[in-house]
Parts: sequence; C-alpha cells; structure tokens
Amino acid sequence: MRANNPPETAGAVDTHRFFPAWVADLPPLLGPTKVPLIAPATMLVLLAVVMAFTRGDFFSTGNLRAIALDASIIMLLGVGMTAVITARGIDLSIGAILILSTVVFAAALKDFGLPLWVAFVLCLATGAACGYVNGLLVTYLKMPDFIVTLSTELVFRGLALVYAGGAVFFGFPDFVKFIGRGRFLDIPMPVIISVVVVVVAHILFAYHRIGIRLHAVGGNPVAAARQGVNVVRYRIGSYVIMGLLSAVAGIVLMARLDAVVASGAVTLLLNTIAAVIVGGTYLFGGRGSIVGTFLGAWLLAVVSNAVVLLGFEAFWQHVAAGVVILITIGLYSRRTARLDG
Amino acid sequence: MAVELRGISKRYGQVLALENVDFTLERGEIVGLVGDNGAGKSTLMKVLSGAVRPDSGSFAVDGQPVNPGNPIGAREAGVEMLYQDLSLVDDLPTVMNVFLGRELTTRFGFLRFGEMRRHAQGIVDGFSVRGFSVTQPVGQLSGGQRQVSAIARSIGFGSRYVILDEPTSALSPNARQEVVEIISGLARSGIGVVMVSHDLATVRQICSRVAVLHLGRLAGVRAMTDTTQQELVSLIVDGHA
Ligand SMILES: Nc1ncnc2c1ncn2[C@@H]1O[C@H](COP(=O)(O)OP(=O)(O)OP(=O)(O)O)[C@@H](O)[C@H]1O
Ligand SMILES: [Mg+2]
Repeated sequence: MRANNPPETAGAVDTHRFFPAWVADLPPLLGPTKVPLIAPATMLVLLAVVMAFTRGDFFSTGNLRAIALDASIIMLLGVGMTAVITARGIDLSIGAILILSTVVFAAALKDFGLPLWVAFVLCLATGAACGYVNGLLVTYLKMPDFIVTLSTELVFRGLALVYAGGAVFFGFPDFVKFIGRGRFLDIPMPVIISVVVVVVAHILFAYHRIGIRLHAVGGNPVAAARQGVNVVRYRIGSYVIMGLLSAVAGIVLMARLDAVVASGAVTLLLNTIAAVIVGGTYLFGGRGSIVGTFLGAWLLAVVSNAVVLLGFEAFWQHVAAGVVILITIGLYSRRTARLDG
Repeated sequence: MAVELRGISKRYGQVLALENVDFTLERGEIVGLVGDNGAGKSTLMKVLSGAVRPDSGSFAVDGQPVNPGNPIGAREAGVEMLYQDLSLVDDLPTVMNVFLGRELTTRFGFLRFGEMRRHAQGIVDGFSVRGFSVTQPVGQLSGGQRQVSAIARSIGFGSRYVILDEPTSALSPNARQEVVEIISGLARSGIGVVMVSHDLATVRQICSRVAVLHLGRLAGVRAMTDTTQQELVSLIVDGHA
C-alpha cells in the first residue's frame, strides 16, 4: 500500500466535529440503503397543510385519532411486507393469514372454550406457521413467491371458510375489546401497538446485523451466500415475521370490530403493498425502509380521511389513493432519473 | 502448511468444468492460475473458497480436511476470496460489503458501525484510486473503486490464504501496480496467494509458480524460473507444450 496518500482522503469522514464521537459512529439513521423518503414525506406534509386550511377540524384530536387508527393496521402489515420485499419476496396471502389466525382465535375461545391466553398463543402460532409454510415452499421448492403466496392465499382463506362458513364470531371478552378500543394516555391501543412494532422493526432494520443481512439477501443473494449469510433462513424468517404480524393485525382488527368474519379483509393486501412501495422500498428487493412504510401507511390513511372530510362519497377514496400513489412514485422516479442522467 | 485440492471434478450439465484437478498452494508463495476463457479457473477457485461444491475430490487446509462447498468453513480455515464478478451488494455501502457475514457487533448483534467504518476506510485509503468514502453505496462507485472495495474485503481479515480472481482487470496501470505490490506484501508476510489472470506479464513478474488449465484439465504446473512465455502460451492454447 502507498504511504504517500493524499491527505484530504485520509480525513474525509471526520466531518462530525460538532457532535460527540459516538454520534459519528452510529450507522446511517434511516437505514443501510438509500431510499427516497423525501417523496412520501413531502406528500404527507403537503396534504396535511392543504387539509389544515380547507377543514379546520382536520387537526382535531378526534380526527387525528381516526387517521391513526386507520394507519395502524397497515403499519403492522407493512412492517412485515417491508421485510419480505426487501429480501426479494412478496406475500399475497396476508389477508388470508389474518383471517385464518383470527378464526382460530375465535374458535379456540368460543367453540372449544379455551382460556384467553391460549387463544392468543394459537392465533399467533397460526400466523407464524402459515408464514413458515410460505417460506418453505418458496425456498426449498424454489417456486416463485408470487405463485406460492397466491396459492396459499386460496388455501388459508379456504380453510377459514371451511371451518367458519358464513358465521360471524362476536362478543369477545373485555380485554380483547380493550386492545381494539382502549386508550393509554389518550392514545388508542392499536396505535400504540403498531408504533411499538414500527420502532422495534426500524431498530432491527437499521442498527442490527439482521437488517444488514436482510438487505444483502434481497440485493444480491449469491454474494450474501458467498459471504456466509444463510439466505434460506433469512427468506423463511421474513415470511414468518410477515405471518406473525398478519396475526397481530388480525387481533387488532377483530378487537376493533368485536367480530371475526371469515370472508373479510380483502382490500388490506393492496393497501399494504401500496404503503410499502410509496414509502420507497424497492419492489424487487435489496432496498427497504421501515420509516418509509410508516410514512406510506399514514399517507394512505390521510388520503382516505381527506376524501371523507371533504364530503365526497367513500368510493372516491380509491381514486384518490391511486392518484396519490402515482404522484408519489412519480416524484422519486423523476428524482432517480435525474441522478442517472 | 498448504491448501490442497485433490482430484476435483465439477460438471455443469453438458460442460465438464473441472476434471480430476489437483492444486496446491503453500503459505508465502504466489501462484498464477492461467488458461483460456472457460478453462475452469473461476470454478476451481470457487471450490477453494467453498462457493462451489465439487462433484468429487477432497479439500484440506494445513492438513485438516475442510467440508467442500461451505463458504463459512473455508473462511474459518483461513481462505479468503476475491470473486471475478466482485460479488458486491450494490445498494449497501463498501463498509457493509466488507463486513457482510462477519459484522462487528455488540453482544446483542447491534452494529459497531464506527469501528467497521474506520477499518474499511483505512484499507481503502491505502490505494491511490481516487479516494472515496466507504459509506457510499458500491453501486455508485467507479469500476476501479468497486474492485478496490472487493479487494479490501479479501485482504482485510488476516486470512492465511487469499484467492484473487482477476484482481486487476478493472484497474488503471497505476492502481494495478499497487495491487501487485499488495500481493507481494501479502506473500512476504506469509500468506499464500493464488492469482487468476489473463495478464501473463504480471503473472511472470510476481508469481513463483504457474498452473495452467485447459478445458477443465490441468495442462501443467511450472516453476516460473524454468518456463518460457512460449511454453505457457502453448499450454494455454493447446493444452500441451
Ligand atoms: N454456474 C454455472 N452454470 C453452468 N455452467 C457454468 C457455471 N459456471 C461455469 N460454467 C461453465 O464452466 C466452464 C468453466 O467456467 P469458468 O468460469 O470456471 O471459466 P474461467 O476459466 O474462469 O473463464 P474466464 O477466463 O472467462 O473467466 C465454462 O464452460 C462455463 O460456461
Ligand atoms: Mg473466470
């Protein structure tokens, strides 16, 4: 190696002289890969400002609470989906996993009279097991993620319907209702649960070995395997987390409605993928952001809320959401195009 | 003290990429591995690094048998590899590529990023390739900077054997000379180096031995002192001298 390095390269990284040394030693705060968070953040701020001027009650506590509740389910599912997509997969079966695991919960409680905690454990275990099945099929049988999860969506949903038929389970214990409708420090429980999940996920994604390896597995699986990363374990793991979080989202949804309907939860999948992609996670793997998914979930929730507040029919929510997704993606597609050209 | 491959064969469908190949690398020596395109050089080196499991043959490091086809096993035995395709994750910065699979972490797996950054930057700054920050995604680096990132990963961990598959292909004459000096330095410090290269001049300049592959077979191994350019060329082209 040469001894006579140009001095300017030697100190190139020590630019944080106003901060204590450990600050400069932190990993990049928003995550290991560069994700265009500026697009969803701008859209969110823009929409909020416009709404604040047109509808004074947009920033009322009640309305903010409604938006947060709306965003919380998508945040839970979005965190799992961000992990799966970052690892170069996709899970189309989340709606079915959500339904199947809540049907298991309801059946355990109502049909088998099992204790509440057992019902919770069975519910979460069902979600994780469904994810594990997806992961096994994708990795060991080397089938495309899209095909596998499209098929298991039908299988899981079918199983729920076979058991429950058109029946509706309702009238759950108070603790379940507290998860859906209770508040802590005036914040709805679903919001607390989903924000905790987001924070933990971000910490693992950005500051932990797991996050780095997940990005590597999605970005260049061959390189990751050569460096000794267990690619199969990470891919299966991402599906298990997704299944587990689908079950958690199922619990929250069931608790809010105080009901389980085996034929529900069909629009969640597209909204979840939309939130993840709007948040800047790259659809084909290797680049993901939990912060982006958080912003994406809120953006979609604010759009739905705005449509209702402005007095349009609820069906316009879909149109508005589609347009906002296109604008947001358009914002950062143009940005990357500029960088390349 | 050596890495030893015995009777290695590897088939890809119709192609017999390697046929009963023996290869030895002693510590402290630099061996050149040459051969035409498709001769099997990269495949042989991937067997050495554990990235490819051979159909048959044995693999031992310093007398200890190593489970073939296991990159972690090979790395733990002290073998480190620079892949011809560089094997980088484009979206991750150089520092995370260098440490991928062996991140410095706290007891609970949280990244000790500052330490990793300083270590990686230190290695990279040893090259005069236009200085770059190891926190930049490697996808944004120049071809030479990418190659330096990949080289940093293969020399930065005190391994005993280093495999370099075309280490200088993307480098300017200046940077190539630095890599040549690094390789010589590694050998002087007791590390065994294999260098795959199409650049016979460089091979003749720094290698003490040269092995020639021809259509998956070992066409010959020569000490650099008793072979000629002429002989090497006919081994490469015809498979015999
Ligand atoms: N993963 C693979 N799948 C199928 N065939 C392969 C694979 N890897 C190598 N081969 C074949 O094995 C043979 C040897 O390839 P290898 O990459 O080892 O050659 P090489 O000597 O490194 O060539 P070059 O000088 O072009 O790098 C070639 O015919 C190649 O097509
Ligand atoms: Mg090659």
